[in-house]
Amino acid sequence: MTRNLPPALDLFDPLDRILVHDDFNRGMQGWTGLVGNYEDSLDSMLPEYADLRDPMLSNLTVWDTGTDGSLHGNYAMKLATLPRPGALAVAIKRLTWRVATRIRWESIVTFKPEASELELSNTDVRAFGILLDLQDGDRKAHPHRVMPHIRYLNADEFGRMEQWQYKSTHRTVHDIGGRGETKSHFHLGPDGWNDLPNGGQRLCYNEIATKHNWYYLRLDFDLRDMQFREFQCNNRTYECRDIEPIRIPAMPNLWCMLNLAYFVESNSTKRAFLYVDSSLLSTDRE
Amino acid sequence: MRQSHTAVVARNAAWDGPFATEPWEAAWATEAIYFVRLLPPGPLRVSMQYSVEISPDGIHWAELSQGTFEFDEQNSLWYRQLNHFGGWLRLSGRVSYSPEMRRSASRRYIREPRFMAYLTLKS
Repeated sequence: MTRNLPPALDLFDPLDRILVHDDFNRGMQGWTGLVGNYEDSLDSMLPEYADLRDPMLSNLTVWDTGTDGSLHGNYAMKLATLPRPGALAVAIKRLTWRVATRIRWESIVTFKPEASELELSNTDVRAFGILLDLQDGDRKAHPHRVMPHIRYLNADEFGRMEQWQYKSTHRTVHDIGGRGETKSHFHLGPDGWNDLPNGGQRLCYNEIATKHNWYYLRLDFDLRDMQFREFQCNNRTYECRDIEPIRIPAMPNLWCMLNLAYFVESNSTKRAFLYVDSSLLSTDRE
Repeated sequence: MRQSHTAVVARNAAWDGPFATEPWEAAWATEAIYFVRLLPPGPLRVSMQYSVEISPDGIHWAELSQGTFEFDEQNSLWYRQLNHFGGWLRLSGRVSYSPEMRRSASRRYIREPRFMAYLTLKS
């Protein structure tokens, strides 16, 4: 079927009901930073959360050619890490779901290190990725909180890896503060990542740190059985029915949670940047 | 309707001596305010010499304006209003407090100063 859509929508392939189409030319639209849970004092948050950096609006300006702009205008959402190996930046958007059905999350993104050296710099970004933070509805028997994570491991301390990965395991869930009301666990650490089957993929890095080529991402996930379906990046589609997301017992105040998040991690003493031109979340019509 | 955005550029930051916030892209905005708040509990009198810096590329920086924030019991929140700053902003400077307070902090009688810094932008 041919759909008569404007170009900014026509590059996506949404399911029947579009829930959210975030084009960052219109502002941040609910995307914000991720802060660790705390009680009474910010000192109580898990230390891994203390230096996560918040997202901003960028016009992709670089020192040698000036402003790139985004794919359909001037602005994209930018995640920028601190300039040190392992530093992370996260952007999150928080919704709740109303019908347990298949969801499709599509994105147009690109990643680069800060262009502070006149070098190829193609190993300076360690990884970028997407995650969902979900919880079953309050009437479900044996409910779970489910956290599908997928990242592109661009490089590690040994060099380029160019490998899609997922995470099935999680660290200890800690009580935060002394009242027993707040819990936290850090799920973006370097531990627990597994290679997606046949998940090696070479992307268009394009030679120097100031050239931005946009990529298409698509994640299909089913809220009925809380299982992956498919993941796509550009020309490659990965069957994901057999991989497990992080799954932990439901938490007391997260019913029907539907959170989307992007993240990027540095592999060097340069800032790592992930730019998001636009994001679209759609579902089957029940 | 005008666009607006408040960015938290430092959260519970243990600034002591030189500091600089991370570069923030602000090309869409025409006015900005840096707010800096000293979080309780902590030393009661802290001095912050600051520079607001601008940049063409987020890498190379030049001073737009400078000043001093003097934090005390009555004044835990300070601000600096800005306009005509181009595409990038950051706040840098130096935090200092008295030798007596430094001794008290090193003996853990009081906590070293912690700061929140905000960049409030409007189109």
